[in-house]
Amino acid sequence: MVSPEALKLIEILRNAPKAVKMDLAHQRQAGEHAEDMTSEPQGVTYEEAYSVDGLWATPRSWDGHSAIMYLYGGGYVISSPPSLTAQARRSPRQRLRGPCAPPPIPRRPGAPLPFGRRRRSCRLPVAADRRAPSGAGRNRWRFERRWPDARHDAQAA
Amino acid sequence: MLKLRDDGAPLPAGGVPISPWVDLACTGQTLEINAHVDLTVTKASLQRMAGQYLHGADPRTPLASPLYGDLSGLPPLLVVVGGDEALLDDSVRLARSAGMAGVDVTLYIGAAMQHIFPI
Repeated sequence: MVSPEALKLIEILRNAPKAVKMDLAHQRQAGEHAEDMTSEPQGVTYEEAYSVDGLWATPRSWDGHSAIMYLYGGGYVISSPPSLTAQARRSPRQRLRGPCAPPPIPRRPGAPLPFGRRRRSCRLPVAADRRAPSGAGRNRWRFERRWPDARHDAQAA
Repeated sequence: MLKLRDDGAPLPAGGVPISPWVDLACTGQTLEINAHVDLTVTKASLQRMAGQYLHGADPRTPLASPLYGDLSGLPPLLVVVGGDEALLDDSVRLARSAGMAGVDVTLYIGAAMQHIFPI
């Protein structure tokens, strides 16, 4: 059964312009705000995941063991970790009660296919991030340079 | 996950693809069948993004389109998709291929639902 809220959203989508012709830069700018209508979850802290250039979203109820690696959508072209904070924080709180780290997806043009050149383990280095290694400042600078159009609105829920 | 498996790296306990796009060659039948009910995703927009992402690479290369890869040895999958999606066929074919490759896979189709509806 479709909820009244879902019907309202469907109506918004139905009336929105479809297949808008925009260049890549404007597509990405719009993509950063694709989830502005969604609500912010409560009781979840948010911090950068330096080791994967992503974000940690950790609920208070975290059991300290499990984690979700969240890979966002956007057709491999738009979106970024900061634009997905609401979604990333909702996911662990409502479902698996674990921290959630959406690493960035290399965005074409100019990036290799996922995992095409660099080998990465799916074991998320929780402890390494929590220690805030000496390179943290440099990594933060890299992070902000990489996602200049991203929202930096949520430090802690 | 295909790359992790091929490298012998540790795999996650499971995967939950939500409205996955697993065929960048865009051959799914629902791209046409559901074109009139999907409110956000069109075949034209997918083809444009595929071109931007692939940058000349083969759209059927398994690292970009796992539907054309060997799915055996993957962890359990829960595939979630909306029934009114142009990408419905990507999920159906992913579940079919994974199941035939011996993967524990569950396909959930939300009737009348749109792209990435759980989110």
